Amino acid sequence: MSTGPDRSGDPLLRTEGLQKYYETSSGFIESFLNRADQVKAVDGVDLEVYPGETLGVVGESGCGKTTLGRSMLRLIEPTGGSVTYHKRNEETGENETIEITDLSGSELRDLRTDVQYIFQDPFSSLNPRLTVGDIVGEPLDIHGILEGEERERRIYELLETVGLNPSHANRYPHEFSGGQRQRIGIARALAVDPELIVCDEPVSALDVSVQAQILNLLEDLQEEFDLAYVFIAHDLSVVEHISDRIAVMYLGELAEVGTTEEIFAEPYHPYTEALLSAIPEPDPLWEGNQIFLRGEVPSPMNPPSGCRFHTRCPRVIPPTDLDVDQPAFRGVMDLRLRLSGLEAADGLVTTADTDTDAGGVEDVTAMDVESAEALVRNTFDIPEWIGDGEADDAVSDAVRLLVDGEVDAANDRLEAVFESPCETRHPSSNHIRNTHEIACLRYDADAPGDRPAVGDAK
Amino acid sequence: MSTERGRIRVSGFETERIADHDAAEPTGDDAEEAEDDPEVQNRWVRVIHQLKRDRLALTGMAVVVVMLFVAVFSRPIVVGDVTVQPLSLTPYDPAQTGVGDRYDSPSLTHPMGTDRLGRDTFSRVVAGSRYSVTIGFVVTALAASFGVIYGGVSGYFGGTTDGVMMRLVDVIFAFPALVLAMILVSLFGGGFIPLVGAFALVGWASYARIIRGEILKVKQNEYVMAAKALGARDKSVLFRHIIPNAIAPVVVQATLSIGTVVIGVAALGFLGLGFDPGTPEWGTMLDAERDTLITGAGGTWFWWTTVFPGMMIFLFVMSINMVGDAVNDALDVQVDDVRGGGG
Ligand code: SF4
Repeated sequence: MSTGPDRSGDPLLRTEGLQKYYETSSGFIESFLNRADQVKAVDGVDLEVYPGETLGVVGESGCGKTTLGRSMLRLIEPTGGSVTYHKRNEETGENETIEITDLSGSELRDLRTDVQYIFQDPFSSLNPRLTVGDIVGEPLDIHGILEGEERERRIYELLETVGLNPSHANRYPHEFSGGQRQRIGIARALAVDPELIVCDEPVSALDVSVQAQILNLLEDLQEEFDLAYVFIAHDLSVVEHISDRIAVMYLGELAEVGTTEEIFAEPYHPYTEALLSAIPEPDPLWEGNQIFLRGEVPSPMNPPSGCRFHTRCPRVIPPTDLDVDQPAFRGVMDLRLRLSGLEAADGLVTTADTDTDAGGVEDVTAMDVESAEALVRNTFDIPEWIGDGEADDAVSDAVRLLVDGEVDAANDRLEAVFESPCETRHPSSNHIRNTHEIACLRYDADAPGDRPAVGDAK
Repeated sequence: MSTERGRIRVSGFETERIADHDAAEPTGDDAEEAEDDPEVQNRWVRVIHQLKRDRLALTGMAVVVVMLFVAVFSRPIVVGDVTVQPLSLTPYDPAQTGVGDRYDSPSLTHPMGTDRLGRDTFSRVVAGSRYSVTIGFVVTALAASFGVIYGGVSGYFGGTTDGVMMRLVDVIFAFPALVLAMILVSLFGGGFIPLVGAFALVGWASYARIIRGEILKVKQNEYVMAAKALGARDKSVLFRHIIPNAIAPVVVQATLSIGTVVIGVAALGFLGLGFDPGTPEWGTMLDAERDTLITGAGGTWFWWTTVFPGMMIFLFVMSINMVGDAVNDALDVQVDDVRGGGG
């Protein structure tokens, strides 16, 4: 991992501002009234993949990583940005630059001999009506690479390469196990002798023991054929083993990019930090101080303003003039978030938030102000004394307004004091060191607020 | 060190030892015996297997096959001046009048009696299979092929293409099928080709609709995206990957609708549309003798002139529907365990 591939030359593939928006409604009336919402599945992603390297792309489900992988190869049409591919010309040894987004249908088909894709689901990615031989041979037919006996021989060879018995070429996919099917999918991708393969969670549908085999196979193939991989996964522990560099995605944007060492060492993006803390260590003394992210991944339909992670970020930056603890500030942010999604004040505190066993919803409007305040502070982990007079006043005022049932006013009161820069500023990628980039205001020299020392932290 | 946190070493696994997990893989030795394994057979082989166990379907199939045989060998077939099929199963020329008395009741010489012009009903019924049965098969083949391509293109490309193409289907569905066929036949005149044309024009829409619905489901499968990732053209994605996986309900519909077409042709015949009055087509025969449906003068009832052609229609439609139902069952079972082998 430390030697790594050469990243001094041109990247094999580079995306710039890659964008894929979906219209949520294709209905005639909606589009006529221009009311269709956009889902920003991938929103301005810049990435490079260098020859022979493995780039891991990690994120929770729904963060757009599969969409990224597919629009990179134009398996689905990107709605913006560019993807360039540097084709090595065998004869001249020079690189030819291809803009993938501009390719015509037939040029795109030619490109498929250089870039390939391995699918997540080994069951639905193989046509049940074709024999394994025909599945693996299909790319050879499409691109007219080999015919007749040579084609047969190549199919046998490919099956052998991925560790399958060539005599099974006449069988149908349903006769194979998940791991074997994934091998068939890999053989199919290898048939055209590609330079780059996008592996879309190739092992997440498989048994743990089989996962290791498939990962090892992919590594062996990389060495043998000098392949570059874009390896998509939802789990850092899987990509860590196989990646030279890692890109962490959150809600359609890149949070952090760097070599595997850089990602696994400080400084962290707060999101990466949370993901890392979720990986169990084999050390029996490991205490597992896991950072739990509150709430769910927000919908990409109306992504949060500013930094998209601010609704869950455990390190969300307080306003500069406010002197509060991080956990307390997170608590107030959660309270504000809850208020902004609330219709009426009596739905504020449900027993799901508290440790009490009593069922149902606690109605703050029916309480006196003091117990309501205690309940609210308790529920959202806001200590009784935040540490800043103005801040405490704001919380108390807000609770008073809530008891009167004035949700919006309470929210406004809190917002006036507790507006985080993370809500208003979109963090751009900051170069930390060499290849390490973090999109977080904490590492942005121009942004307000304290930031951790970056220097040569190791 | 912080760089070491959370590492799970996957590379160090002894893959040999756990290879068993992945070894549902049959070894080369049992490859031959696997040929008999029902799982290994392809789906049409299995469907036939299933049909063979279904008595009713077998009977139906037998009837249909006999009728097809009869349709071919009832009268000699002459193409141009060359006789390609010299056999003639009919004892008399079905068009020849006066081979017996008027309304002879069934006897050994005329097993199904004779009609009002003294024509041999048996010969006419046998020769009639050529019209009804062939039209049934030809129309279904034409309508299904066109409908599958049409619905396939529409469902595959989706969007505006789909919208426009399916509106045409809606238009066809807006007319009662038989009425539309009637209009077309009365516009273009009767005879074999116009009848086939009319019923095919009316019938393709339902295939288009069925396959389109199926394609919308099938095209979600990742193997469709996989084919595109390999660089396959739309044509091959559609015909190699999508349609073969979406065709099953069309096959069922087609088998069942052969009977419907036969009935439709007979109905038009009975209404005096379709073939010339003298043609030994079953419906037309019924039409020609429809006054005998009521008891004739003096209490005589020449039942044989109508009952036998009617029976033939019934027998054929009944048989083909039994086959259709069995095909339906067989394909249903099959569709369910497509994914069975994985692990
Ligand atoms: S910008 Fe703010 S909210 Fe976003 S990750 Fe950094 S600290 Fe958290």
